[in-house]
Amino acid sequence: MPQPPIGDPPVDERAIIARIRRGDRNAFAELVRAHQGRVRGYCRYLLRNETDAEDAAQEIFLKVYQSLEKFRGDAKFSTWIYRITANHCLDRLRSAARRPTQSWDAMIEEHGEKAEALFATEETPAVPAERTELVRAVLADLPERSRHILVLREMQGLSYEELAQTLDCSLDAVKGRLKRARQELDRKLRHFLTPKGVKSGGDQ
Amino acid sequence: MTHQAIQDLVWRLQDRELGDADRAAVQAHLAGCSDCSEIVRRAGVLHRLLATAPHPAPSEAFVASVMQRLPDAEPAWQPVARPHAWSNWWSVIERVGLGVAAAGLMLAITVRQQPAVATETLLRADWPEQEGWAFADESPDAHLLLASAVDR
Repeated sequence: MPQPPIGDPPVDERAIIARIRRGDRNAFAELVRAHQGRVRGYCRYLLRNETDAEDAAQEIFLKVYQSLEKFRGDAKFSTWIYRITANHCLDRLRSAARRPTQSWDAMIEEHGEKAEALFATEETPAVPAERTELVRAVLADLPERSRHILVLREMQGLSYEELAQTLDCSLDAVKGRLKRARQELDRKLRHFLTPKGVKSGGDQ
Repeated sequence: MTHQAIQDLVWRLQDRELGDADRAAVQAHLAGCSDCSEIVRRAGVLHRLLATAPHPAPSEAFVASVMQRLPDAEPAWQPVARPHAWSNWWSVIERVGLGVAAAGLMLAITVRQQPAVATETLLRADWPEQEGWAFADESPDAHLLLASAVDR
């Protein structure tokens, strides 16, 4: 069942930020509570495992706290947080680039039938943790830029305009990057996406 | 519309980012093209795969972990000092004190401008036999003043 889109949290962010700037550290907990879904969800599918993702999400909130003064309110607060999140995840991925990770091919060998079920139209795999691992493996095989834009668009539901603000690029660049990322994903998963006996036409 | 043009627009159709004219053109093409329809179907499966991926459940433990690490993360900015109740009182006292001092100063200036002893009292001390004095508005001539001083 599709999840509800991640929208703006129903909190008065300006008032909370004003309280934090006056030195009320406890007010920061309200911001963390309101945005943890976005940040942790993003990290989960960008980074290699759950431990890395949770640790990165904590670090991101510490960065948000430390640089709160730089938030001028020109963009939405959520966009500002996404920008910090995206940069932090990129840094982490680069510093961990030499560490081995389980590739999609290895996942297929290990959990072949579960991977098949991932693309079934009616039912999804029963265990969310397995589903999370499989989706993470699918994305991990993509180039970083493609992974970023797919998570932001497909999982976090950002509009083209919000993507342009978050990734600091033009609308045309957003459309181009999204198209490339989806074509890469389509190519990688063509075997699973095409039912047996159906011609996998329309090579993109 | 060509296959290539349609394939460029398929994802934007799914993202609901196409204008009415483009959307109508794509849908008209899809109605008669099985290859492009297959692309749209796969696009739908990929979208569902990502859009339904499990998200972390809200966690108070996560919030607590961040807050625990906060003391180590000194902000690059200084919190705006919030005035305490006692400092408000101190401010009131300061203002009242300044007001009192200003009033005292004004009073002192006013008192100083008034002569301490009336001119007539001084004249009586020098000339006790004199009954009264008439004061002219004009200054006396210098030689008359000198003559008066010599006489005395």
